[in-house]
Amino acid sequence: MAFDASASIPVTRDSALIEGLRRLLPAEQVPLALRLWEEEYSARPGTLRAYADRLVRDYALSQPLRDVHRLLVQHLFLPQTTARPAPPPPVVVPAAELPPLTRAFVELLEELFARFAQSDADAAGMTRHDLADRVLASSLERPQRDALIAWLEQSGPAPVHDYPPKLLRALVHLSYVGVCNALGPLPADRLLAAAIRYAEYHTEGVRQLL
Amino acid sequence: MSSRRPPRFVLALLLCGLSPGAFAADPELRAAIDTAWLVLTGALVFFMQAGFALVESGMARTKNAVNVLMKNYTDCCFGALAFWVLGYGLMFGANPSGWIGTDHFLLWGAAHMDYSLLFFQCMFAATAATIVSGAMAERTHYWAYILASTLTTALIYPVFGSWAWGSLYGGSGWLKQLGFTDFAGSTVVHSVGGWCALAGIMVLGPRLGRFGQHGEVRPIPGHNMTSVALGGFILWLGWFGFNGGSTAMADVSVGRIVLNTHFGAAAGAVGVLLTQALLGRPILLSATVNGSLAGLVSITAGCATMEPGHAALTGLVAGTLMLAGEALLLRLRLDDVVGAVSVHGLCGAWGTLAAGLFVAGQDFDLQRVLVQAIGIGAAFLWTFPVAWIMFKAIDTLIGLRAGGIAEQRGLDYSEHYESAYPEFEAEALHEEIR
Repeated sequence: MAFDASASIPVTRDSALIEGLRRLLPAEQVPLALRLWEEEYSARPGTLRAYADRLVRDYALSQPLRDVHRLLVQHLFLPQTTARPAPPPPVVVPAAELPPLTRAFVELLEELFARFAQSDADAAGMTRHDLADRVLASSLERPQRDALIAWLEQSGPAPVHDYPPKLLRALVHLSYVGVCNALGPLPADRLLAAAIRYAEYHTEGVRQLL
Repeated sequence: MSSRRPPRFVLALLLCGLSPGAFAADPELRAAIDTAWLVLTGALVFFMQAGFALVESGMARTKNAVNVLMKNYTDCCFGALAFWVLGYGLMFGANPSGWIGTDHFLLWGAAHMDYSLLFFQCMFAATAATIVSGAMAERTHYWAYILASTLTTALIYPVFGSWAWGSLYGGSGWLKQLGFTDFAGSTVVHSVGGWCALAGIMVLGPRLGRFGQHGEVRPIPGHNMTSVALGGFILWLGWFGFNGGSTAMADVSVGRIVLNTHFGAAAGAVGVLLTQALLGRPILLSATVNGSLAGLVSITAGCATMEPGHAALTGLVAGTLMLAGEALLLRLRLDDVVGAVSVHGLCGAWGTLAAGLFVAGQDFDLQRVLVQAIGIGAAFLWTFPVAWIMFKAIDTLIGLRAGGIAEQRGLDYSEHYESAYPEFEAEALHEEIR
């Protein structure tokens, strides 16, 4: 079974929404906006306008709320045949193959960096790079190390190896420091707390990484 | 039955009210009343520790609340013992040189009044020490802080105190001989605490992410403004004992002293509010509470010698000065969690100067102002370098700063393994406390 964060969204609605979001946002922000819909709005009826309002605010859209809302509505009611298939989610991890702590780590950091990038994509990228440097300096076996670095650099899938908890904890902490330095301590606390909540919902053992 | 009789000092107070003549004629009665006054006001000063604890913990984040409370609770414990062993003798012992007290260490088998004075002065010493804790909150190792706090109470505070207030047992401090006036300790207690705090935050560095790469200041608001407000009220109340008790005797001058204290605090808060309004800034509760504390600190030196109008003016200026001091510290990238350096250090210095400027019937005596300035400078020149060396030494020997991971998890977890808000465990940035 593959672990897929967007699996709970019906594919047709997913496609239609993505189609609308593509007209509003740069391509790299579409998955994040979709994740926002999934987490905070999709489960409640009648929230499309609130979601549109959130998009206008969070992404500083130049279009007025009315137009954004109308665009999303239009795309949600497109005939299914005209909606392009949803793009693959950023990371598709074969959950059953991941050691529990590695899975918790991947879940936590994916969420943390997704939220971090929403506020400051450059700083998020730099922090991932710093983490990769830290892994490079570690004494891990080559395959373990390369897999983790590739994932951190966003050029490979989530690693499937077991890693020392101490290293994973250090990487989580470095991520926190990165958010602190880029956004400040209060957003960092909030962001990490939200990422912990998300990761704990999907997996176990997250607290061992803190 | 003797056990049903009212305490002797209550009778004495009643007698005092009914018959001033009897009060003056009986030295034993007089001593009993003075003792009652000292004990009562000393207890009020002790209650200020609760005020500091509430203000400081409220201004910190939830994850550091226990740590701040622990520091406030225990620095007065270690401080009391250290002051008894060493501090009281250094500060009030016979002082033939004018530079340091030489006896009355480990007070034992002394006269009743000596014990009363030791009790009262213990509370003052604890106040000077606890000022530091708020400034250095959220990133200091607990034991390193306790060591620094104990050394402050045992050494840094009493040495300067001996210059300004020594001695009770013969000889006189050199500042006192010059005519330096600091009635209840704007400089002796508060500036000394403030300058120690300044040294502490300089050695410690700012909290993680407090300042951005381009100098931007990231606000880290406190977690409980109710606690800050309650702490402010408690400190205000306790200050009536702090200043009123500094007469060391039940005296008619106390009325003016506590009135000036009250006006100073009120005007300090008003000064902050007016300044913020004039600058078009939000009216913050935390700043308003700090404004009243700035007013209290500043009026402490001259509360016995000023007219109430001047007390209000002193507090008003202190409120504005406090805001300016906080802005200056931020510009220098110094992270003072509660504004202790500005409130206690800077406003203590201002209050001491004001005590020279405004003396009922003898205002603006430049000679007196000069002496006050010497005292202010001496306090800084003694306290800041010695405290800086102390913090540096502690940092080198046992580590002053808690690690980055401790800042992430919060010191409640990393230093005490105890959470102030266990119901919100889901928000915690650390492993579950078992």
